[in-house]
Amino acid sequence: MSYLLTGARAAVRGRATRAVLVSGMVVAGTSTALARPDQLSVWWSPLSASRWWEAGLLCVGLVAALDGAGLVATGTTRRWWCAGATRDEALAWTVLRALGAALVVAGSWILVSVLVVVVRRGVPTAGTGNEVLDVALHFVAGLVLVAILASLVGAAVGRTWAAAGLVLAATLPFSSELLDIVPQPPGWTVGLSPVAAGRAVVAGGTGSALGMLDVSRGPLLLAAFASLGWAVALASLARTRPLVPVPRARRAAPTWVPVAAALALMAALGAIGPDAAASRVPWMLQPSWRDQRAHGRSATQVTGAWLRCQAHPGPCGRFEVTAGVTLGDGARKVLTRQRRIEVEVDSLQGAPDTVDALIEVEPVRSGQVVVRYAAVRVHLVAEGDRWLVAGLDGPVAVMSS
Amino acid sequence: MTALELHAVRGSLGRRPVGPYTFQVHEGETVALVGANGSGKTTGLHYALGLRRATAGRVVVHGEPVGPSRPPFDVGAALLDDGLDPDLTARADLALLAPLRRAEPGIDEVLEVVGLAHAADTPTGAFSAGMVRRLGLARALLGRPALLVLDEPTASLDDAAGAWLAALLHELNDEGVAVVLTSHDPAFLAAVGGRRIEVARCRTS
Repeated sequence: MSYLLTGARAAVRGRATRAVLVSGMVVAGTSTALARPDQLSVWWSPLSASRWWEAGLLCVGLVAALDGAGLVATGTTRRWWCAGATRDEALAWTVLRALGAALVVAGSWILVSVLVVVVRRGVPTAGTGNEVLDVALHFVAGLVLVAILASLVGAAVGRTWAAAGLVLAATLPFSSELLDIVPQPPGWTVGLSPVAAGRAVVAGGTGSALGMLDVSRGPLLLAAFASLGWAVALASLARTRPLVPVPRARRAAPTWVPVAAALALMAALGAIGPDAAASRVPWMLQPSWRDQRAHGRSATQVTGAWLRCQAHPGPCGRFEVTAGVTLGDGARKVLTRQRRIEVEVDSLQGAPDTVDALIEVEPVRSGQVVVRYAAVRVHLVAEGDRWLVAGLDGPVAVMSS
Repeated sequence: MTALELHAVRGSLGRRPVGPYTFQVHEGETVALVGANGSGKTTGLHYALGLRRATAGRVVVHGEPVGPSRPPFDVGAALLDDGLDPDLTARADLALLAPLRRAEPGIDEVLEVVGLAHAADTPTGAFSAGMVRRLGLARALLGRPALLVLDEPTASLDDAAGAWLAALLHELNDEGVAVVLTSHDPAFLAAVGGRRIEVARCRTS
């Protein structure tokens, strides 16, 4: 344990590593600070915005790659060998250091995230129970897997800036932010990047938390194979890397028997794993949900658009898709007197088919009380790839002054 | 007892065949590999440490063979191109090695021995070449190993430091520590004494 702490501290001590961390913090912090308040929540801020996820992954990947390569470049792995450590042990310690660094980065990430959100939104809101934990575990698992693969890239390459460049090149083409701008690559290309492959496996086929990569079962299987294959291949390269520079050195041939055995094992796991993994992913991370959100058809978006339509009778475009909703008098009054609608953020949504909204209405005086707000609950049903409004409860609460 | 034995060790540097290297170092003995530049002295030390893969022959340290998956044990090594993480302090540098040597309490002592106690918390990137060499010696001495492998240990050291090192090696010999080293420094070699093995064209004579 003391070694892990010493190693993790050493891993984040380097100037290049600090530069990566500070840059990532500034970019992600600024991004969050400039985001609309209704996009923020304490628990979800590192996850609900894809830029957080991507920047965090990139930071962890770069730190792990720099550390893995730095151990080779500074002769540390060679000194470990001379001190009696086998190549496998040295590789294990390299990965452990990366994991320590990943946890440091994740901790810093979440801390800054919470601070920014608290400053902008005030008192923290409660999370959504097990789903928060579930998504947080996916987030941490993603960081850990990316840290492992990136540190192996560093250990195999052995040159710090080359390793960092490779991780950048392997990550950026698959980042959600970039995919907003450039055309989406085919799902199978995920396997070409160790970082993207690992991320796809952890996220259960989403490719990224809220990213645009729509990776379905087939490519997920490929990603599972690819990430294990990358891990085995990179570890094999790293452990056969010459300990001293040799002119035109011939690498010892990797041991293909364990490689083949590992691939066969993964084939067996891959045949049954993806479906199980996909079903365990929170509904908010399912590809269909992200696709709906990207196209403005998520439950919260449909709810907001439908509620606004009620104040202006007439055609409401694609959102006029109610399945025979009947409104009570109270609800009708609230909707026709609406001034502003605030639909709950996705991250606070308790279930995929129920959305709460707070409606600011034209003030209604009743004696000494002036009613200004009313809360309603909208129920939806899924039909194909869209949501239909099925009913409305409310007003379930009113606020007055 | 034999601390280190190389028996007909052969290998290659790229396409160039090297070896055979054959020599032994006994407990409490100092052996110096001597020869011209490029004669293969450092390469011999690399084979002794298992840093290069031998295509023939055997390397035995403290009675145990050294191979691709079997590192040497109870060995302290200070090579000329040992590498350095300039962001680490001398103490942190040694701390990364200490658990392997089970020598956590020995870091301050070994820094004192090599004369770096005053710079224990200084980043090694600020070290002079001589201080870097002393740090290499500190790494080798950490945990008091029974075999020291030193590549040009007086490089970048002044004369006084060379004399101090020779005296230290005599003390270690008296305690049973075996030493194998390379050097071009006649004064140091004379001071350290011991046995000399000529290396030429990447082979021992």
